Amino acid sequence: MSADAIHEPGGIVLEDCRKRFGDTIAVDGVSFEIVPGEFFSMLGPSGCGKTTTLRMIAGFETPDSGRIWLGGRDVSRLAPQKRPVNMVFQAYGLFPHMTVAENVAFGLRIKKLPRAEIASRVAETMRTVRLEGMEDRHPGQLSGGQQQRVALGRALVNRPAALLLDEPLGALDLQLRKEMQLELKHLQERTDTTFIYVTHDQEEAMTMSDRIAVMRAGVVEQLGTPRELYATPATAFVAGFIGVSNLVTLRVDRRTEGIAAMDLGGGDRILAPDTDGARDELTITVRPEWIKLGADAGPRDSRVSGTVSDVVYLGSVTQVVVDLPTGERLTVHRLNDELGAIDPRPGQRVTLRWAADHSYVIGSGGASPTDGDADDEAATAPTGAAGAAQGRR
Amino acid sequence: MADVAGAVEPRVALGAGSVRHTANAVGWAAFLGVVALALFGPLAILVGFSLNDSSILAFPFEGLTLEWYRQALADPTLREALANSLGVALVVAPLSVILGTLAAFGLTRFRFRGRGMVGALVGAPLVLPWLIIGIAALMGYARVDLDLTLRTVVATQTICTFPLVTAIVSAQLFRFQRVQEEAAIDLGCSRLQVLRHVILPHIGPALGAAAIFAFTWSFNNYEISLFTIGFQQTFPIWVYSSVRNPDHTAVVNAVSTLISAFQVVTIWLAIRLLRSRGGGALSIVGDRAVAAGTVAEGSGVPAPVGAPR
Amino acid sequence: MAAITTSADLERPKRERFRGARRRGGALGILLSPVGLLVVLFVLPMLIMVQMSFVEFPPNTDSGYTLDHYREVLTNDLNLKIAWRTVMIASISMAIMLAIALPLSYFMAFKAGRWELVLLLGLVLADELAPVVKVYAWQVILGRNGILNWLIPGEPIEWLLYSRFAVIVTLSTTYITYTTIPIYAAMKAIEPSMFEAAVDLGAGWWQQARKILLPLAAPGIFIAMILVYIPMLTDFVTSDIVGGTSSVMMGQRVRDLILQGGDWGAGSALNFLMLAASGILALVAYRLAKLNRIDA
Repeated sequence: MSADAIHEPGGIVLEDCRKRFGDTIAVDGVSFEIVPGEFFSMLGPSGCGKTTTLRMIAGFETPDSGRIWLGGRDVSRLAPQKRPVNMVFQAYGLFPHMTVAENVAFGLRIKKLPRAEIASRVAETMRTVRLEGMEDRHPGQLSGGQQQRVALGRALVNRPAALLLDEPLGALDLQLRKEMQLELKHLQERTDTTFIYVTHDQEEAMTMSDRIAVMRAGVVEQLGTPRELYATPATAFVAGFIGVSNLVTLRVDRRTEGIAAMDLGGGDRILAPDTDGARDELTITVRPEWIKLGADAGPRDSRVSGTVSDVVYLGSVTQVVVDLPTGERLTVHRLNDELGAIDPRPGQRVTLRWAADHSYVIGSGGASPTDGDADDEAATAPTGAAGAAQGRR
Repeated sequence: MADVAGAVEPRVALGAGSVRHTANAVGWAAFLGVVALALFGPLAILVGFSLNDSSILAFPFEGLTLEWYRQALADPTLREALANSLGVALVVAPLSVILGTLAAFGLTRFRFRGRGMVGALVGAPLVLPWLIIGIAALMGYARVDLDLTLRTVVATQTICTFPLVTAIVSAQLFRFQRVQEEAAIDLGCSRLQVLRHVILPHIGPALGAAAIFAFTWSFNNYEISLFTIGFQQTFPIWVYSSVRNPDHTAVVNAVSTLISAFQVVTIWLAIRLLRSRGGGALSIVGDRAVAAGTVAEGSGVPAPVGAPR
Repeated sequence: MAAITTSADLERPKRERFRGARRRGGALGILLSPVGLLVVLFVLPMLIMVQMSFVEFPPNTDSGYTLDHYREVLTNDLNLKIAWRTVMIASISMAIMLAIALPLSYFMAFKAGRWELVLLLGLVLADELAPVVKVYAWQVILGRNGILNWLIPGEPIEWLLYSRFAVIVTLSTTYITYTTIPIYAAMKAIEPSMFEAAVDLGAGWWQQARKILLPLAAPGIFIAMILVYIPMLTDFVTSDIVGGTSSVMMGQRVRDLILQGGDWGAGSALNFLMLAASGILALVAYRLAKLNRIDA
C-alpha cells in the first residue's frame, strides 16, 4: 500500500496536535497517520488525552496548534457539522423522543436527502446493525446493547469517512462487551470504514485493533500492532499497561555470547539478550506465560528461586505470584492443561526458569522474542502508514 | 414537633405482627383522611352549597337547583371580572413562557460572572411576598405617573410569574443530556437545528405545563392585582368583595365551583405534561421556595421528588 | 502527573471553550429582556418604595427627607401589637403545619409506595387552586350556620369564624404544601437502609426518629419553616376573609395604611421593614440550603 493512501477518504493525519484546558495540558504533541479502512485504537488511562484527541478529530475541540488532515484535506478549523466523520458517544446520546428508525435517519434528514433514499439506507443500516423489527421502538424501550447498536447505526448510515468511537462499550456488562467487541470488528470489516476507537481497556483494544496508540499524559507512548505492543513494549509503562507484565531490573554482572547476565548466587541468574552493550543496568520484562516452574534450567535459561506469595486459580491458567530475594516479584501463568496438576501453595519455595530470549529488554527496540520474523521497522514506535499497513495484513 | 413525628412513624417502620400492622395502616389512613378533608373538604362542601336550593349558607341542604349557576352566568359584573382575569392571564401566560424560557436558557447553559446575582434576582419574586411587590409596583407606577389599568396588572404579574416558568424549564434543561446536542451537531445540525430537533422536543411538554401554571397563577392572583389595578375588577377581586355580602354567597359558590373544576382539569393536564418527561419538576410547582432555589442555585432539581427511589 | 487530568475534570472547561466568545455574548443577549424587565418592573419600584419611606410627604419627593416614618411606625403601639399578634398567629400555624407535615412527609417518602405520587399531586393541586376561593370555602365550614356548628350540638359557637382560630386553621391548610414539600424532599434523600441498619444495631423507633430521621431532615425542616414564615407574616387575604377585629395581621395593616389611609410614608416604611425581614430570612434559608447541599 502506498503512503498516498492517507490522502484518500478515510485517511487521517494528525500533525503535532496540542490542546490545553486552562492549566492542564490535555494533548501534548500527538502525531500519527491512519490509513483508510484501518481499525485504530487510542488506549490509555483516564486523563491521558485520548478522548480529547478523538474530539479534535470530530471537531468538538480545536487544537491549539498542529493540524488535522481528513482524506488529504486540512480540517483543523472546520466545524464538526462539516466534517465527513461521525461519532459514537460513550453515553450514546440517542434522541429519546424519536423512534429507532428516526434516530438512524436523523443525519440523512438533516442533509435533506430524498425520502426514498433515506428509507432504503435506513433499512440497510438496520440490517447491518441487526436491529430489524425494532424500527418503531423508542430508545427507552431498548436494552443497553441495542441502544449501542442504534448509536452505531445512526453514525454509520451517513457513510462516514471514519467512525469515531469514544469508549462505546463502557456502559455494557462484561459478557455483552465481549460480544460487541467481535461484532464491532466484523462491522468494521464489512463496511470497510476507518474506525478510531478510544478505550482504557487494553483487552478490548487488543481484540479489535489493527494498530494501537498507547497514550499517557498527552503523548503517544508507543504505536504499533497489538502483537508488537505486547511482545516488544517500548517503555515500562506500555509493558505494564498491556497485559500482566513482570518488570525486573537486571544489573549486568557479565556478558557472554550476546547474553547479559546477573548472578544471584547459588547458581541462580537472570539472563537477557545483550542488545545494548553500553548499559550496565537493563529493565527487562518477562511475560507470565513464558516462565516455568521447576529447576531443570539449561545454560541459556534464567533461573531464580523465590517464595510463593499468592496462588489464584483463573480457569485456563493458574496465576502464581513469587517473591524474589531481590525484592521484586514475578507473576507466573501456569497453563491448566493437565488433570490433577498440583499447584504450589503460598509460602512454598519454588524455582523458576525462562529462556534468555524471553527476557525482553525495554526500550531496546529489538526483535520480539517470540516473533522472530517481526518487522524491525514496525516495532519501533511511530512509523509511517506503510509500516502500519504491513502490520495489519 | 419532633415528638409528634417520632410518635407516629417508626411504629409503622418497625410494625411487627399483623394485628399491629393493620392498626398502623388504619392509623395512617385516618391521618391521611383528616389531611385530605382539611385540604379539599371545604371545597367539596362549597360545591354542595352551590347546588343547594337556598340562598343562605346553612345546613341541612334544602334541595337541588341550578339557579345559582344561572344567576352567576347572568351577572354582568361577574362576567366582566371573569373576562378581565381571562384577558390578563392570556397575555401573562405567553409572555411568562417566553421570558421564563429565555432566562432558563441563559442561566442553565452559560457560565458567566454575575450568574449568581442574576439567578438570585430572577428567583426573588418567587420568595418575596406579593403584598410587598404589589405595593412597590403601585408606588413605582405612581412615581412615573402611569395610570393603573389592566396593563399595569399584566406587567407586574408577568414579573412575578415568569420566574416560575424559569424554574420549570430549568429543571427540564438540567435533565437534558448534553451529549445529545453533540450527537446532533456531529450528524450535521446547525445550532438552530439542534434547538428545533433536539432541545425543543425535550422541553416542549414542560413549556406546555409552564404555560398552564403561569395562566393559573395569573388568573388566581389577588395581591398584585389589588395594588396595580384601576377601576376594573378581576375574578379574585370580585370574590373578595362578594364574600361578605350574604346576597351573593350562593352565586360565589356556583362560580367558584365552575372555576375550581376548570382548574382541576387544566392543572391535571399540566402535571401529566410535566411527568411525560420525568417527574422532578412537580415539587417546583408545589412550592415557590423550591422553584426559587432551582433558579438561584442553577444546579439540578432538588432531591428526587416524586421519582421512584 | 500534575499535567494529567481526568476526563471528568475536562468536561467543564470543554463546554465553556466550545465557541467560548460567541457564547458569552449569547448569555447576555438571552438574558437581556427578562433581566431588563425585572430591573425596570421589580427592582426600580422597590427602590422607589424605599425612597418614599424617607420622603416627608410622599409621593411628593420635593418635600424633603426624614426618618419620621420609621420612628412613627416603630413607636406606634398598634403596630407593635399587630406585629406581635402576627408572629404568634404565624407560629401557632407553623406548629400545626409541622405536626401534619412531618408525619405526612415521612409517610410519602418511606411508606406510601404508589400512593406517594397521588399524595404529591394532591398537595400540588391543593396549592394551585384559587387561594381566595379556598379561604372563602372555610367560611362555609366555620360559619355560624356552617357544618361544624350544625354537627356540634347546642348553641352555635361564635368564635369559630371571624376569629384568630379561623385564621390559624385556614393559614395551616393554605401553606401545608409549602411546608411539606421541602421536608419530604429532605427525607426522600435519606437511604431507607439506614433505618434497617439502625434496627440491626438495636435502635428502637424513638431512637431511629431522634438519631436518624430528624437530624437528616433538619435542613429541610428549617428551610420549610423559614420560607413559609415569609408569606405567612405578610398574609392578608386569610385574616380579611375569615378573621375578625381580634386577628388583624401585619399584611392587612400595611394594605390599609396605603389603600385606605393613603399614608404612603408609614405604609412604605412598614413595607420596607417587612421586605428587609423577608430578604434576610430568604438569604438564611438559601445559605442553609447551600450549606447542606439540599436544594430547597
